[in-house]
Amino acid sequence: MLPLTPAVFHILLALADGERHGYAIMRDVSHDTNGALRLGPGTLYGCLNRMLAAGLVEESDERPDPELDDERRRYYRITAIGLKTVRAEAQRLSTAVAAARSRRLLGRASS
Amino acid sequence: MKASTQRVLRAICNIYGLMLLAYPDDFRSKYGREMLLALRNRAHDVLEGGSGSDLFAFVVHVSGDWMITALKENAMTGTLVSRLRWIAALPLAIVAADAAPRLSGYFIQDIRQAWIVAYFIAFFMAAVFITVGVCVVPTRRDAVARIALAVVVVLALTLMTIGALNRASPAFLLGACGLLGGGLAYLPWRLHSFKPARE
Repeated sequence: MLPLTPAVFHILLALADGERHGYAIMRDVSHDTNGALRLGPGTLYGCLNRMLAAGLVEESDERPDPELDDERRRYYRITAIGLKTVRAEAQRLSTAVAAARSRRLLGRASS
Repeated sequence: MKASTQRVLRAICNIYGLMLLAYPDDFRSKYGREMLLALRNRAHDVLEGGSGSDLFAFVVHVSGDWMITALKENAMTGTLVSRLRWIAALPLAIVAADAAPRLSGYFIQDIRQAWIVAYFIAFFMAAVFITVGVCVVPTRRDAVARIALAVVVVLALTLMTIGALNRASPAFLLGACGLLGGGLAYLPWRLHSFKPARE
């Protein structure tokens, strides 16, 4: 399954914090990447469709606040396999970043 | 929210609702409503807090996203292939309809030279399109491809024979173009579908 596409990785990353509906995922991805990756509705739901089929995410029946939320919205949450996959991908990227840093292609990480 | 902003938002949602028709039926029925909702939220944020250039960037982004993902989803479900097959069949149908009266007595010598060149190219392209178009059909592709190729070959050989019998070189060349086009389209498919024996 690895490497994940940037869209799939960032969707899993957004869902790692808790369940989200589509637009919340779009907002989180844009925020996490400082606007470098903006998911359109087609990309987002295309990815979610394939991620549901692969068992990386699942639909959630619960709603954080039914009073405030739109009934039509579907919520998605990460599965155990999804969590394992995103961890492995993060580790893979971290190794790549460490290699780039050792070759002085990147500055030191700010603490 | 201002009334004018609401009108723009409604217009964007209506247009996107129509754009959703480009997605495969299953995908649209499953995610169409949510996609529209996500777009509405995003458009709302852009209209409320963004400038004119933000709105333009948003429209460009959504249009690009739609174009790529609609093609991708259709390709993944096989809908695109099935639609392409019919589009591909169209040039051959046009050429075949045009070729029929020619084969029954009209000769190409009377027609202007530029038109003849265009006709050669059309026949060549039709042969390529029809063969490629039907070759990519996922099911029963062997049978369909062979029928399509047979149509191209029969038309091309008939034109070549009539051209040779009547010493009409344009008709002969037209047939040769069709044969070449069909052959060019058929060979890659044949090589692609060839599976080497297991060692």
